Amino acid sequence: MSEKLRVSGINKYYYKNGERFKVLDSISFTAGSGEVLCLLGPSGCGKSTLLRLICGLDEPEDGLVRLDGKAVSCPSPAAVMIFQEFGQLFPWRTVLDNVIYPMRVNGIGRSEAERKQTAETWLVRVGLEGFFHVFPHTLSGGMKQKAALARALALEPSLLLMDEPFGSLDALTREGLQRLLLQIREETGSTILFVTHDIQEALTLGDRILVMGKEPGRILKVLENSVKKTGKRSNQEKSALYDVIHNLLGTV
Amino acid sequence: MMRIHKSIWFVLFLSLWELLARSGRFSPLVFPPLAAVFKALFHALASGELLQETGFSILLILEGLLVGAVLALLLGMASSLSPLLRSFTEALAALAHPLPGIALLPVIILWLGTGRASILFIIIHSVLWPMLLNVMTGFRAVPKVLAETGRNFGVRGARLFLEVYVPASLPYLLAGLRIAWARAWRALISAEMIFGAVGGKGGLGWYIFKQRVFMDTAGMFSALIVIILIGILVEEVIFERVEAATIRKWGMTDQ
Repeated sequence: MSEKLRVSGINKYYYKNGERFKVLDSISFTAGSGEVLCLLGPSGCGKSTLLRLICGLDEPEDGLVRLDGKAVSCPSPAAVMIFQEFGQLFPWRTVLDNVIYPMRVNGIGRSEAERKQTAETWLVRVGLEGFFHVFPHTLSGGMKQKAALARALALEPSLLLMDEPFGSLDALTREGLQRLLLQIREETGSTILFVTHDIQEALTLGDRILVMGKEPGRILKVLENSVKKTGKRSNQEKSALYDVIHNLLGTV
Repeated sequence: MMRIHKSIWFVLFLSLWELLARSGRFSPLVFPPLAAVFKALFHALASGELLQETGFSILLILEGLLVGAVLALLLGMASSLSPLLRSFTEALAALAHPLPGIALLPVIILWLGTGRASILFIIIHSVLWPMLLNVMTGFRAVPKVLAETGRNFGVRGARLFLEVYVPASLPYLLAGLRIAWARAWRALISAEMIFGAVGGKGGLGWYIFKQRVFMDTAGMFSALIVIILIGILVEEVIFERVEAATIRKWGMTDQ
């Protein structure tokens, strides 16, 4: 597995009333090509901030983010972020046009017809056939997140950044989307950085799990997710790993 | 239901008007009967005079609205680029916004004379400031997630403004345009009356003023009817349709 992402020596501060608080403390890790890496931690541990730095939406005080060997300094479609908010689709564009627009901006596809075809293929893949020409406000939360996923995938990003994208969904819809994400990853071999505070979700999705602690935000441990790799093994093994993580987080 | 109620009231108003006019208490020079008003309206329209004056006014206000709205957008964009530009624009708006266009008339006459340019200046003044305030509020209210999604997709500079910020703040922009229209329309009619009297030409305001000079009271009221009709057309038909075809269709009205 070749290296896709290298995060080295990140420090990030946050200023309030002239005081300086450390949000992220010397964060370093790598992600291999095709890997699903889960960033797991309690709220306030800076995991979303870390994802924003990797996207280039914010800048760290120290340290460097390298994607495909190139330093990230500003947001680009090489690393596409999917947010938790359902409002990330452009409300004035139809679902189909939401997918086509960023492709057009970035000159992906040789013609408008080709872009349309690619966009339709992705929308069908996430299960939104029949919803091409509706406006986002008519979709349910789960469908909106599916559309955002299709929009991101159509850009063929080098890295997919997901900031608790299923966090506001009901449990059943969330499971459906987790399955969909894993299937799509199998087909595309996408590299995914997935932020969550849900241990179960991290165990379902992550090849590796990066457990984070807070005040300041730091990496407590990087765990190989043996549960996912070995498929549906015993519940015992699953709950053992669950306990390991739970204890790690409990000590924070 | 509301519409039915409204039209019943309209009929009542008109009936009351006709009753008073026919009571014989008022001279038709002061209080003309409806028949005379509609006859005057018909004649003025048929002769093309009223249509010409209306066209003159409409053209002026469209020009002013366009220039004012574009200026407001440009200033709004500039002010979201740096805190310095923002404070500059805010100071400018704070000074100019409370000034009714008509209060500026003497100064404008002194600077620009009494021609078309002066009326245009007043319209732009009435459009620019309320529009600018709404543009600035609207840009600030653009959901962070939309702006960041745009940036993430590599949308930059003027394109980010036109393709993300402008549509995302459209509810504010349309509200601003409604206020701007209402102010500009009032300012226009007043300015035309005054400039017409000084020797300029044209416009509905000037038409009303002229009919008063000729003691053509019915003619005066016929122009007032045209003003009311245009007001209803723009506010209840045009703005309604634009909103239905955009922000309501996109589900952006209940933010």
